Amino acid sequence: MKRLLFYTVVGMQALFLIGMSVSYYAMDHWGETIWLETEPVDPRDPFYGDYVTLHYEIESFKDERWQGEEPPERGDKVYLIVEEGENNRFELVKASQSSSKLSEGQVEIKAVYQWHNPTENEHQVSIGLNRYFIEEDTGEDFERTDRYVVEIVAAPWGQKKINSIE
Amino acid sequence: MNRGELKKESEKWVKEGVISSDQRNRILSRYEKNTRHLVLLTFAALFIGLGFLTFIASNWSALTDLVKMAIILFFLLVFYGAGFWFYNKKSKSVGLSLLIVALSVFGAGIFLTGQMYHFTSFTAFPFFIWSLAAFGLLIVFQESLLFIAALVIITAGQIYSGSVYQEFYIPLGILFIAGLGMILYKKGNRLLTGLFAVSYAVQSIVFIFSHGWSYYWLILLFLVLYIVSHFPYGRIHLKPFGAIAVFSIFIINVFQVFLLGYESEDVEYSNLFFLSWSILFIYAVIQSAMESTKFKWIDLVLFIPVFRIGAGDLLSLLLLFIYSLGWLLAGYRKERSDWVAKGTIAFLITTFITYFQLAWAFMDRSIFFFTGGLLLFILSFFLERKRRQVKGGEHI
Repeated sequence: MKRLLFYTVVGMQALFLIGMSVSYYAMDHWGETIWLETEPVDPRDPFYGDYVTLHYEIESFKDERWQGEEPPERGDKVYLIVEEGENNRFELVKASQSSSKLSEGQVEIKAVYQWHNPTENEHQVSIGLNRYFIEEDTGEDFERTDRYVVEIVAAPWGQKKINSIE
Repeated sequence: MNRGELKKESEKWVKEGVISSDQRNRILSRYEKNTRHLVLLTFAALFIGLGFLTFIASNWSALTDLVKMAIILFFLLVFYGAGFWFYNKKSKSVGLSLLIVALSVFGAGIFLTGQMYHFTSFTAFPFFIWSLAAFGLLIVFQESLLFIAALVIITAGQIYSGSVYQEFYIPLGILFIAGLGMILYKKGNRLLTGLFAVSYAVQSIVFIFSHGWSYYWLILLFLVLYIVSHFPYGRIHLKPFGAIAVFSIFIINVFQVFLLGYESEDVEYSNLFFLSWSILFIYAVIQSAMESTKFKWIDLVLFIPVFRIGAGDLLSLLLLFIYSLGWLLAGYRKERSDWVAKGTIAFLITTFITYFQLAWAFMDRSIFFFTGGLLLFILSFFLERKRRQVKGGEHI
């Protein structure tokens, strides 16, 4: 009995780690690929240690894109709906605090609310993919421009990852 | 029987002629060999493990993700397997330490896998999974060390959640109260209870401040802790709750002395606060009246909220003085040296705070410290003399 319980406890732990790994690869199969443009970054200094800091254009938007009364609190979950725009880049359609029905060609992305700037009517959210890890000492090879286009895969279960960056 | 006991015991057997001294040596050598074997084996495993770990750490970035994953899983299963085997077959302590290593591998595994696959987390969820694993092991083995491991992971996760996400992570809180609390209630010892209470105090602070509430809500949470310690079900091992609760509320009062002024504080949800406070406080008073020692009410003085009526700093000082003098007098009367010691320490701290609060602004710094030192010296002299009398009284 005790042995069985022990095996279960250990098995669950191994399964959890395997699940984390599998879900990552499963995203390629079930996820949808979108391309997002980043905000301009200082091309001289985008590197902090071994990662690049990225801010996406869809992460800041004006009041009219916000569906709802009051802006939520910092740290609240928000849902962004994006749609394919010019040259394959995806753009924000609307943002709200609840998940909504998607039209053809739309993709929903989970994000976390950051802050609201009432004077400029601007909302700031974070989709959580703000760090792109690169191999150590390869920062030099990384092409330095002020805008990147990032290929992101978003899975139906809310997970997402950066596939490539150019 | 271990070797030491056997050595002593067998000496008698030789004297009594049960075995010869040659036979005794042969029996003893058997035990010696066995323990040395075990120690060597442990060290061997440890060194090989460390060797592997350093090798992997230095080549970590060169490995592909799948290989990394395989390595983590391999170590996880090997340490758990070895731990289980040692625990059941050879030595409980060696087995337990291997299990703890395995648990650490799991924790490291969660974060490494998360980093490998760019997982993003907005809560202390990884800590929750990790503490669930620790809790599972605790259920299987029922060992204090695993209780402490779960407690540490939960507390660390809660502090992490509070400082990084400004949020109290509810699943961790539930696991803490319902999971660890249940086990502690059924069977625990004073050490575990004390640690649990410390963790409770820390999590209370995270809970209150992450919601942006004012500090005085802590008074309620600490009062709950105090009441639980006096549950009249003969759960004697829950006593340390009371000590930690009183210690925490004492510190709050000290803070109040410095932070509160002549103006009263605003209270958000004031009805709710005072209503729940009254219920808890009345319950605590009844509880202390029903106990055999009639002096527990002295503790309760500290839980009176004074921030609302103005001059909160002076009133807090008053509470601290009532508390210290209360225990001092009760100690003298009942001739309990531990109460006297408690009262003495509290009294010295309170006097010092009062002095600091009242004299700091008016006096020259050097005179301030001189007089303060002198005052404490005289005080401690009298208190110590009185305490010795009590102690002497006990022996006569």
